[in-house]
Amino acid sequence: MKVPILETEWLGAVREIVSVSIKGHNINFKTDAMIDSGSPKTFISTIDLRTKTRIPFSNYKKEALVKIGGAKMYMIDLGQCELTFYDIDNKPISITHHLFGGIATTQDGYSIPTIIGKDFLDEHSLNIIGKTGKKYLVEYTGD
Amino acid sequence: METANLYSDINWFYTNYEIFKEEFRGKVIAINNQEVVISANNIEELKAKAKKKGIDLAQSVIKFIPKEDVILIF
Repeated sequence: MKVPILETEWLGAVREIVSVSIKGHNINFKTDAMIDSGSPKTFISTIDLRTKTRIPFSNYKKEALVKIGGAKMYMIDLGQCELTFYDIDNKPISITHHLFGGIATTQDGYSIPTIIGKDFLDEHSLNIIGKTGKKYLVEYTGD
Repeated sequence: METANLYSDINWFYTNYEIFKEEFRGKVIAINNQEVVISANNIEELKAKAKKKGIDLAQSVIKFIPKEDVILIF
């Protein structure tokens, strides 16, 4: 597994972004996700949830109210979803993971992107390797 | 949308963010094939316009452009 990462300056910092397809109950879309090893959870953004899925938010239990990037969001539990990445040869690599949805309570939170968090990186032994301008998401294969 | 198109649309959005920031402040935009195909004042308007134009938002790049310059720290 060697998934190319797009490194880009956005909203005040250099971000590491991958393209991904996400499938789950009422979920089937493509998006870009920011890799954030500081986020304990992997979650789908408000914009992606509200524009690309048919999830009835009101039926979901609010798991927690969190503050991300200064914006308040509540998390909903989306259960197991399939995330498909595309490696350097454009070969699909699918990984099943427990996802959350981040519902921003104000428009401030609409800028928060879909996040690949520490839970995802740890559970599937994924690391970022490479140098600036040429980075990849890879599976750790050492001891 | 092909994977390569999605990747190039994502790349195109971030590369041109400074331009979009000036043109679409406070708006939600949809990008397809390196073109802003919809801009709207809110999500409901975006969805209505997409339905009218027959655009599949699930296969598009959708972004909100903040009204003010912000630095996102997390």
